[in-house]
Amino acid sequence: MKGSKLFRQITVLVALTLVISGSTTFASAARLQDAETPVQGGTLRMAISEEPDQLDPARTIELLAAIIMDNVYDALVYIGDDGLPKPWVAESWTISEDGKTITFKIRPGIKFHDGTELDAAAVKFSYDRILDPGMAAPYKSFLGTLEKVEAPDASTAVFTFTEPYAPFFTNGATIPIVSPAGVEQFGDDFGHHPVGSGPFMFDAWDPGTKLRFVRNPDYVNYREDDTNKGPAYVDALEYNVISEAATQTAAFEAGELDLLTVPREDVARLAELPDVEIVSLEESNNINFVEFANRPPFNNPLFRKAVAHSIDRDAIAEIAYLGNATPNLCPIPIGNAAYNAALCAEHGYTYDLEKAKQMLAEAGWTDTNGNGIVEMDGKDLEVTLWSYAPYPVQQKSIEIIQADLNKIGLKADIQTIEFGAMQPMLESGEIGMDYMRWTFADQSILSALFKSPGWVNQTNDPELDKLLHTADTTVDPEQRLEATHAAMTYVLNNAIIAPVVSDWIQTGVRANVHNYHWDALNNERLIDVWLSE
Amino acid sequence: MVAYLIRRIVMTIPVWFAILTLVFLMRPLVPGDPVKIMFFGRSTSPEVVENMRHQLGLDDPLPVQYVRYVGNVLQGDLGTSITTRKPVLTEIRDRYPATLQLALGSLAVSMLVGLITGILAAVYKDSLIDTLAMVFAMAGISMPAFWFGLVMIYFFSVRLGWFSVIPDGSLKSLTLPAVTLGLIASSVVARLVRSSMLEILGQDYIRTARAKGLRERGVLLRHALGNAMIPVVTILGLQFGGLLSGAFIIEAVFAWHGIGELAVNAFAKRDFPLIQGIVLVVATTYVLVNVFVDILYAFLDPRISYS
Repeated sequence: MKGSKLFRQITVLVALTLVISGSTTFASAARLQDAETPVQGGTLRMAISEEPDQLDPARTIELLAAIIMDNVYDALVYIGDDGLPKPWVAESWTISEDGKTITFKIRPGIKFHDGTELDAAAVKFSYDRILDPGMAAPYKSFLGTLEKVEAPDASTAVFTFTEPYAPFFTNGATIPIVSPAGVEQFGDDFGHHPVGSGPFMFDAWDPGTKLRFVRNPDYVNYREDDTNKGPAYVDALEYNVISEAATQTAAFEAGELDLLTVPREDVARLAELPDVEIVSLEESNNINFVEFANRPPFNNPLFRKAVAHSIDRDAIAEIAYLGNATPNLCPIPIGNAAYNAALCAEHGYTYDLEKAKQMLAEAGWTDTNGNGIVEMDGKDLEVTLWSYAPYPVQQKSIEIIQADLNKIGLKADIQTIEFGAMQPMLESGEIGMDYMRWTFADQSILSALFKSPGWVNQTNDPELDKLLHTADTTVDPEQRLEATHAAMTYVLNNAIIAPVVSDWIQTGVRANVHNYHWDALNNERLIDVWLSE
Repeated sequence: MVAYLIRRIVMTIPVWFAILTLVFLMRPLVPGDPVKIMFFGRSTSPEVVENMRHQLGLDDPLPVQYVRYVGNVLQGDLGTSITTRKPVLTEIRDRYPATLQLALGSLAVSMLVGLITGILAAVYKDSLIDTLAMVFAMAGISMPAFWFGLVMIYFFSVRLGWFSVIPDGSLKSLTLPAVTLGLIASSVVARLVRSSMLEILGQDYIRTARAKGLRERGVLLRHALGNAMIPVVTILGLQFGGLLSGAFIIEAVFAWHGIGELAVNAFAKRDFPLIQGIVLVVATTYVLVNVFVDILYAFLDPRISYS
């Protein structure tokens, strides 16, 4: 979930008041690349909607912190466009026959910003901190069945698992490696004085106001998915804390920011501005879906299939998301390595109100008294579709779904609620169906959502658990993909959720900013960015 | 006078304790498990959640938590922010000056604009000036602060380029937020000054002053305004509280890094020790300002004596 953005809807109001918007065209490339030769220098100015809590991987779980930490730290591996791990700090690795041991060969010569060596001991130190129960590290759950890390010599790190854990590469091996000397020096305040080995070094943190990082002049980039193999082009990165989305947009328009995460409502208007390009990451790791409680009528697969058939994904993408989302029939994000359009076209549920009505009839709901609402045993089928406030996109989406549910004879009411109040209602099953959004990079999103008892008690299915367990413990990438597809097929055949759309990530880029792009995990690769006059 | 002062200050103690109790109860009373909400949308294990709950002391019975909370607050320990793991008091201390600056700046604007508008409206009663002044006051009361703030930013920063959108902490960057908040607050002052002036201008001693042949300016400023200020000062305390809470919205809009913005972020992240600390500090400020206004009252109005 994105951080709460109060008053976002006001953006629309101001846009209507002050700007006459016309028709629009904008670039929707995943990469913004230029043929010109990169130049060095300048400060890349960005906005963040809130201050990150800490820049310490053993302390934080925030998406925002992860985005910033990406510039400061390196990790064992990165994930390539094919969804597979690629060498980074680890130049190679071997997996034992039983899948319970991964031995990483650590690349020699990498130095932290404080000049100390990034060796196997530093790798062990970083993971031990997260494993330590005393740290209460939120990332610990990302390490799955990892039991211990050993460093027999400076270039060997041995990871031992109690049971094979396939999501480790995406979830665990991409966790930042911290400088042991830095942790020693700053102690509990390390999260506010991060020391890593990445392309940018921590410079200043003005509480609540701004964070600044400067170029690491000695950086060598071992990643194949970046074009720049040396130190970063820009001298510094500046993250300005601006909590209001509309104010961020104003600062971008006034030329005080170089990059902007564009609010959905402003995409068309900003695309019209000279010197601004909107870059969209369409294959994002976001997924929006309708999920169901584990109680009647929601636990009836036919009911869920009827709902899945009555969702007009194209209309939702066009109207609610203003065209900035891709309809999705798969129970995983479109950017996920396991996404498979053909599989989901075969097993998924396209918009078809007639089929939806048939499903309801098959389950025993028919309209016998002619009031337009289907009933069973003389009782009208009435449901409430919930979503959380204050997101206008979410609100519009459930309105569109509501209209179609009414068309198949299902009397649907809609409700939005603050998330804090929503979660206990989800867990208790009080909320029967709701529109939810998740961001998750790895295939194990299926386990995170559906492994019994489900993330909020909606699923309890031993057969699915077995399939998910196979997917999570199969380390070989190809076999794992197969296992994930088997689980996906099961999720679809039983319509455990009704997938709706994957919304895009969109950044406003000023014309003087070149080479802005994301990696496979949707991280910005600012090492490649350069600024022209 | 001294006895009154002591009594007035002692009276604030039960009020303050009531606030403290309410602030403590905020967390158990609001729906949702704070720890689970922190982990929303991320895969996590019960072990991780339990570790965090234990670290925060949430696994103790409520009375135990209450006694610990009160004890800590009395020793100046407002707890530790869940998200930043910094002491709450440090977080608030870092931000408080900015909020105070904005509150005082906007108070000055609201007093200046409110007084001038109110006096003009009263002196030119039932004229065009009066109508315009009161329309202005109505507009100020009805205008949503965040909308007005954004309009100000778009007009003065984006279109005219007079001020930067991102504040740099200078007095210049205080202008836009202080004027926005001050203008909104000035409408209440303007209406109050107008009615209070009108009442006083009808008094016998004003007629006497005019009969003595004093110039109208002297009558207004020396005889009328001083007396008309008494009700205005009364609402000064309330106004200040209003400005502190108005700052919550204005600070977010103007990226002004005070406790209002800190609060908005703390709400968003469900950082309950921080939320509790902010509410406590703001409420305490409010109580103290009102005590101060009560005392100020005695100095302004010789008819009031506290013996």
